[in-house]
Amino acid sequence: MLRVVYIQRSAETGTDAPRYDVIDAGRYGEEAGFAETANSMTQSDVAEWFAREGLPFAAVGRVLAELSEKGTAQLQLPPRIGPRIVRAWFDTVLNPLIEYVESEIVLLERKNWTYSFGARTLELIRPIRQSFHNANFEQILQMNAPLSANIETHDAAVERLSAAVASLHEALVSSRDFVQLCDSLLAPENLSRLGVRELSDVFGAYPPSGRYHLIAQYVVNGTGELPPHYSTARFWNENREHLLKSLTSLPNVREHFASTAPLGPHLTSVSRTLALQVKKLRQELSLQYDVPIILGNHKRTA
Amino acid sequence: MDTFPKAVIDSGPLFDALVCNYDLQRVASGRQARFESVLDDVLQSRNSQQYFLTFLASIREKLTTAHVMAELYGLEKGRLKLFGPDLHEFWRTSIDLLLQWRIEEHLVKLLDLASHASLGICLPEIGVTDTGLIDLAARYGCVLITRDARTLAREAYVRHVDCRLVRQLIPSV
Repeated sequence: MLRVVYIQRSAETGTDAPRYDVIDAGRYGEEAGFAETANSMTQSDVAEWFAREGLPFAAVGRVLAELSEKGTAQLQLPPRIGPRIVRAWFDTVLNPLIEYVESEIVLLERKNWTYSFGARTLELIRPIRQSFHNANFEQILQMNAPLSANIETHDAAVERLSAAVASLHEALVSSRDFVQLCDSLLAPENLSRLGVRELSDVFGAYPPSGRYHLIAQYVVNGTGELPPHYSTARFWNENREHLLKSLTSLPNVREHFASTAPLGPHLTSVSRTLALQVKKLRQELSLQYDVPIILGNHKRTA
Repeated sequence: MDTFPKAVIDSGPLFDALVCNYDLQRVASGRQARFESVLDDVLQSRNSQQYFLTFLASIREKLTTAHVMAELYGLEKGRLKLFGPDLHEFWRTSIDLLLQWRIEEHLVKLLDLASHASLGICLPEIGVTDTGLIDLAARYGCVLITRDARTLAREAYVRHVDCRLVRQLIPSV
């Protein structure tokens, strides 16, 4: 990566006490209009500036000698983080990441694992490396080892929770007791008490094989009362408490439930730490590079 | 709540229903609603959204066309612009709702419409999707629900198809 800096003797200074203009053309070049110019610096100012920008001591001496001799010099410096990069990090990684993690914490506190039996995964509690995979994200992680480590910890905790919840769902649908419970609650006499004529009035176009999976999905997610536009609402709302007891009453299921239960609070704790860490990083970058966390036309952010 | 035994649903109200459902689920799980701005003017309150969903759910036979289903994808891309987990959640909740509603997706063929003595005339003017919806509602003798007062509803009225605009179905809340 190229970052070119030009130094030239200021036009209005003499040779006995020369002053210099430093033109930091960045990676885009002066022509692109992004060059930062510092005018009328003394030789010691220039030397200090080089040191701040990470130019090796030997190179500082060489460039100063060249300046004294020719009145101009050109050099390459290591690339640096600037406001444009910080803006991109805010917009594509840090702001969405904070929103994502805070939303995840809300779901975890409600023990809503957002398990989807079709995808066999937690829909809204996912490894961050999968959800935020882009070049800016990789760049931040390369430059911030503690953040990278915390994301690893988060993602490992998500994987454990996801596997446990999938096993819990599987334990439910393969439990003869659970299937019998569903069948009894779905018996015609029980349905007619709810004003439901037939099974398809409960499950719509879900195939018969998907019915137990759907009820088990509601159970593992601790689904609350469903609004009336769901065809499953009358059945679920009537039998919800009874079905949720399966988690603690049915053999095999309760063991899976017991092993899943502590994973939620653990992930919540990891996510809280991560959210704080990312917010602190965002604050530091914002103040250091004078970059607003959000721009005026954004409706909201975490 | 007055309802219909059978209705053909246009992409506007169907997409609105999916968005209402998605947003209501977000709110139910402790998150913020996001997409009121893309909804019909009469669907700006939580009450009207829930009323609209309950109303559609009460229609026993909900019909639409494959063209409408195809438009849903473009509507999401153009209006919601979701990506990642949010995109997956939107489609998962939408498919779940469409399954629960047993929505019937009918294939109305362009060439059949074009050869139709009456509908073939309006095909170049209003397009295959709208013409197909009018054809479906006429064939099943049922009401057609749309947001589109200017094109689809006008053409449906001309052809004596009972067409209702979403804003006529939602009482002012």
